[in-house]
Amino acid sequence: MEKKYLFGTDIGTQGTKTIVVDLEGNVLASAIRNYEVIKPKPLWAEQWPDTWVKAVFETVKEVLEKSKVNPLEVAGIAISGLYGGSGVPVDKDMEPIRPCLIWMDRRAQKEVEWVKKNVPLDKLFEITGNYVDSYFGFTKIMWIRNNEPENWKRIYQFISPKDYVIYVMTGENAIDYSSAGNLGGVFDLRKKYWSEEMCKILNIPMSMLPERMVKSADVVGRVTKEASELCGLAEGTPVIAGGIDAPVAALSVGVLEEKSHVAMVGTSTCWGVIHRGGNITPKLVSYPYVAYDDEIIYTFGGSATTGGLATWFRNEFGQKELEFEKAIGISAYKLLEQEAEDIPAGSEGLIVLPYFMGERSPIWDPNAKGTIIGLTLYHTRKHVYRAILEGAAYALRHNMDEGMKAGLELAPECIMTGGVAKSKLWVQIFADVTGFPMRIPVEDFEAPYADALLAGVGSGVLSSYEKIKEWVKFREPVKPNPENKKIYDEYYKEYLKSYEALKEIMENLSKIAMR
Amino acid sequence: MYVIGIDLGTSGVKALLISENGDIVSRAFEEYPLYTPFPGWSEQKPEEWWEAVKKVIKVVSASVRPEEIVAISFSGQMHGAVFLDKDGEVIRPAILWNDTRTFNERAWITQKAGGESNLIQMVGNPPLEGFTLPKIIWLRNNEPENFSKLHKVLLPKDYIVYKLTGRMVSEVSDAAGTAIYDVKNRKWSEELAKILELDISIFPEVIESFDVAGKVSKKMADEIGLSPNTLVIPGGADNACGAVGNGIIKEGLFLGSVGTSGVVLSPTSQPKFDPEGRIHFFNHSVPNMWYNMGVILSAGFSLSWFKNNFAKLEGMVQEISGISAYEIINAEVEKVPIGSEALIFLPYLNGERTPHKDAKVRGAFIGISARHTKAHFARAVMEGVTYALRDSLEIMKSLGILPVEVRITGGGAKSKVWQQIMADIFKVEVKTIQVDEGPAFGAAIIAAVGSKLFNSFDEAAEKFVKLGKTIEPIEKNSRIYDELYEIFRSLYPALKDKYEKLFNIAVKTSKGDENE
Repeated sequence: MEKKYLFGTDIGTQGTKTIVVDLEGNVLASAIRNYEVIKPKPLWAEQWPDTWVKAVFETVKEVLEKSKVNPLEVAGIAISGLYGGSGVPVDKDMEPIRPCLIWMDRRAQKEVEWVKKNVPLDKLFEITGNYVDSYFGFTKIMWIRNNEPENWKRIYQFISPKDYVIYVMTGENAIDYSSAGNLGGVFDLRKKYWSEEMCKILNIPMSMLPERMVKSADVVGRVTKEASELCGLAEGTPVIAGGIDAPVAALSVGVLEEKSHVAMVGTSTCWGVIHRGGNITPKLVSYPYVAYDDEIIYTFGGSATTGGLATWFRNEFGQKELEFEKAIGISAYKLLEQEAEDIPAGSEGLIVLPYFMGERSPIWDPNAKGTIIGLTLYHTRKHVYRAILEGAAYALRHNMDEGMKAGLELAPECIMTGGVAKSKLWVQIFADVTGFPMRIPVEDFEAPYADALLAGVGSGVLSSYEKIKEWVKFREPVKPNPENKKIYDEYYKEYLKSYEALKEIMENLSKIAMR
Repeated sequence: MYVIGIDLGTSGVKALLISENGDIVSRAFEEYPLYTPFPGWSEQKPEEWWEAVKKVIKVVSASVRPEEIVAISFSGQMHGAVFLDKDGEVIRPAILWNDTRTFNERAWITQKAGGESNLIQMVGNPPLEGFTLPKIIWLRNNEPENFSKLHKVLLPKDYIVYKLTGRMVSEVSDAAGTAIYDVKNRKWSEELAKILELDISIFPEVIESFDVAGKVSKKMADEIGLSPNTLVIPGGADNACGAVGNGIIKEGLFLGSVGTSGVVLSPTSQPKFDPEGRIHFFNHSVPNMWYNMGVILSAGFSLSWFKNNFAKLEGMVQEISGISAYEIINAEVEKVPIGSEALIFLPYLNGERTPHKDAKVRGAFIGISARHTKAHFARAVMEGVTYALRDSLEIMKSLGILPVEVRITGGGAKSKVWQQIMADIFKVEVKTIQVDEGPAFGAAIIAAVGSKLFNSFDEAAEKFVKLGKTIEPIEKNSRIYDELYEIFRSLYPALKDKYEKLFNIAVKTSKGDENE
């Protein structure tokens, strides 16, 4: 039978989404399953892999039913996922031993200190292209080793979330380059394989890392009979490796040319650029890209809170607007945004440091805190709301600047996707603060869309990655306003200095808050 | 027997008729206008004060016989300059405490006198724009015609004493705010007058707050319904009277006031003052006492700003149900842990006076994390204002003036949760006052002492001042606050330059600019 449908599935932190597309990139159906993050303690964040397996199987089944696609006409499925942090620790029978420490988990503070003290950081950077932070998976593996010796003894391997699901689907165990690279610490960015030397230094047995490493468009295995019964895909359907959700989402909006960069602005921001690997910086995260995997590097940075800031502000200070939303259906965000539009660039002297959950790149400071400075009796709620939107944009610029400082070149336009890209005002602020016109796709299908592309390339029904350019359509770019840019240039300097001035104080505050 | 206490304020005059037992028999209030002919100017007409004062006296004295009113005394807005010619006529409108036209004069005086610290040694305070001395120099520089007619400069309430008795006289607590009265040695500073080439005779004789200035003149007595035997006691500056009204008359007792602005005031029996001039040092209305005072500009103002902008739902509930938004906020704040989980507010929403003397400093929230709620912010505002008050308290402690008890007044003192915050942050017993009538009540006490209804301020305060409840500091809370207060103190130095730059950028980029 003719193979004319492609499945793409993305395992996210809060939910899993599956879509089916035809070979022209038309989305025929989609399904979502949501789930929770387990947070037993502050800084901890875990998930059981069965949650993911169940969500993937159920959404695939639902999409098949909704689209009425004949399973025999499905060319393949690719699965992308959140990075697993530690990965799923499994025993010899590939049974999970404990929940997976996910990317959000920041408990490995002592391990980070240990690495900073005992491993020459330039060496770490030279081999892995990355630095150390409790974000990286290798620190979480070390945490399990140091704190759960009973579990450690039983661990056979650490499997990334989507690779665990692929294993359940196919019985094959492999990892793609992007997922391997995102572990940090133990991955040699130039050789594109595990670093024996680093494994030794960090005391992580290399045998605990999957031996088989594949490209994101490679076929890992085929759907087994048991899996076929559970998810509805035909036995023998090719399962393609996929990759980390962030670069896969970048691919979904057609990022294929060197220097192309995309800011995914959702709850948090993930901004990344692709290049050939000549200039990288330890302030950003680098690993192989999910297309042209052996030539192209994806370097990204991002702030921990973006849309999260607006949600927090709305929930705490926009309760009246939430009541209106319930009563008449106008979004509370829209009401808050409308007010903030009247306020001039720079919010008449306010600066917000958006580190409400600590910060990832480029400052890598778990103790960083949110800050609103410059308040006077004259300032109103709308000033503060606008200043929050601006703070998120300064954070994006900060990442871009660190990339450019390291010699990374950026295309003259930035692609912008994600929920926040729906806010007209916020997108304009992003453009004005960074100076880059923002190009937004007409429709944003996110990572599953590129999973479908990878499934097509991997199964051979699509000729190349470049097909994505025909699939994606963009709106007119949102251009920066040069006058606002000038104003923001001045504020941005103070933004950077404010953090420097408060860094030590924030650390002290953190200590007090932890008690 | 009765006494009358009058507070000559900025928005109007308030009068209280009080029995010898301290009971308030009647009260009256009369407004008068404030004139702002140019930005930064602030003036009132002494004749309009006088008309208003006559009205309120008539109202409060109506219920008793004139002979039963033994004395009348005053509390007055400080620092204002009333310019009189040799016939005792007003030359021009009075220039008030909140007038800031004298920027250049302040600088000139400071330079002439060889710097701020010299001035502090000479008279006890730096000559802030609002103080009386720069206003006199301003008159000399800018209205020489008027200056040539100048015979005497009186303070606002002293002008009323003059109208009642015909005597031009001042008293120590108000003279202290002129910046040319030697607060420590209790006399006009001839040294400074000489340096500035000012004729010292333009300043009136200075007596004690509770001395008798005279009796109500026969003519006036008939006009306003007082007896010619009613004694006129000059009274004191509003802050001194506020302190007396709350029984703050001994070293160790502190006043903590959280109104729109915030005040920490404490008496001292020795002339102890801050050589850096971060807090004000004035003469008290009580015999041979002084007081130090710190002022923060946005105290209750910070909370009302927060309520109006960020507690809109609570505002809506107030409109519908009538339950005060502040009451709802207080209930929410009660649930937030001590220290607001390390969220800190800097209450410099309008620049700051004590201790920074910095018009460009601005407010901030520092240490925000995603788990902080609106209630955390509200609590942080209360705590931040209280840390700022503690700055004044710490300066006083460093001078050797140690708090035994802080009596709290003003709107903020009505909040139960804020009362406890104050006790915990000040680390000293806090007491509320039952009758919060402000400086007019203190003026009445001075009238009662001056007319010998009581032998001493102690005795009068015993009878008049009724304390409310006592709030003890909770040690484990204080320990948390001590740590956070240290951080609070480190924030101003860390952010000072940033504020200055932000201020300048904001001036350039704010909406107001479009009109230029």
